[in-house]
Amino acid sequence: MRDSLATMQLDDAEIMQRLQAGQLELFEVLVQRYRLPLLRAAWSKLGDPNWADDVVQETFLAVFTARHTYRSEFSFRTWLWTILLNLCSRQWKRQETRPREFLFSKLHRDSGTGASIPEPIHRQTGLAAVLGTERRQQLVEALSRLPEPQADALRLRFFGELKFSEIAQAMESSVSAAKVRVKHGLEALARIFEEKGWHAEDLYDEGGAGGCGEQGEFP
Amino acid sequence: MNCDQAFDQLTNPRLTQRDALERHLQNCPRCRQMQETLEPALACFNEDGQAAAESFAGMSPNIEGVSGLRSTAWSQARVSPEAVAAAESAAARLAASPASFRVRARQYFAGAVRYAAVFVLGSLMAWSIGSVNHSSAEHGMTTLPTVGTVPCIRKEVASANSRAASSDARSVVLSCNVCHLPAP
Repeated sequence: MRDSLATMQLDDAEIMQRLQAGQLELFEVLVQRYRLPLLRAAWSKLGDPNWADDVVQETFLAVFTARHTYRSEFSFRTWLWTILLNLCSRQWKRQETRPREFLFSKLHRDSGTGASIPEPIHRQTGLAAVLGTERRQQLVEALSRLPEPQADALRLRFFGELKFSEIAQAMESSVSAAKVRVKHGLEALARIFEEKGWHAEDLYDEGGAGGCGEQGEFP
Repeated sequence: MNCDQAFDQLTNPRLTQRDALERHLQNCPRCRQMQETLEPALACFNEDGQAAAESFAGMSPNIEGVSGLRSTAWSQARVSPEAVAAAESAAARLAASPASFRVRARQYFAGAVRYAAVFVLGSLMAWSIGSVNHSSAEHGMTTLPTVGTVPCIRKEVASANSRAASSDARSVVLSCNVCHLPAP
């Protein structure tokens, strides 16, 4: 128990170093740490929870497979979020050529030796009850109306909790450009909420927030 | 706190300097106006984050219950080459970025400072030794004790007949050279 707690408190760079040294079980710590924020961001970007889960799974698999390329000079989470943004963009193109069901079933088939890829997390945990609320869909819709760089900067800042320097690195921009994108994005969102008559206090009432299983699975 | 820091705090999902931010907003009408303008969107993100976090907190603490995969499964699961390429190219780009250079530069600088400090300290010590020897030379004394330049004080004291024996430390040291240093 104590070892588990100590493991959970390791920072990302330390975990990656140990991962590169062969302690593969520590990867689970990174998955637990980042899966929810990645899912929130991917869901808001792709608009579909299943696609979001595919991309998040693929992101973690890519990080695990390419773990030898990580260097302590850059932030792990900057790397992780950069990969997620790239794979989300790729998912858009993929959606045009393949049905969504093919992709998920392919993951199950290709896992090979009986290792099971889990059900999407939003089904496992009832997260859909929160992430799939109508009100949250309004946030997703509002983000979709922004220019993509502004929306991505907001996702990295508020879902990923990245610093502005990390956002700049992930998006290949300057720090000041990252700040401008966030500021303009927030202003634009505020205007959209005003237009639509959506108010923050209405978006998440105390009864609805965190209601696991309250609404059942996301349709 | 300046306005740039205030913006950083306003948009920080984990507000870490609440008191300082409030003081700044009380004194800065421009930032106060900005906060009012951005408040609807900020509140939306903050509450969305709280709702998701509360839901996530209710999940099983079992790590496998979150990811559903053991480490062996991660090793065995297939991933597309394109995804791996995306990860590798991102790592290469980040490693080559100016920010990474700054991190490496800081590391090298820290090492260089250590070596420089050792060098300076050594130089100072050498200089101080040199200056002592130089001042000795200015007073007509040799830098190093020379054999035979001063008679052995020990013998003279022992003979009790010497009136030339000097009591200063330098004379004692020089006199010892009679026996203890080889002839040039």
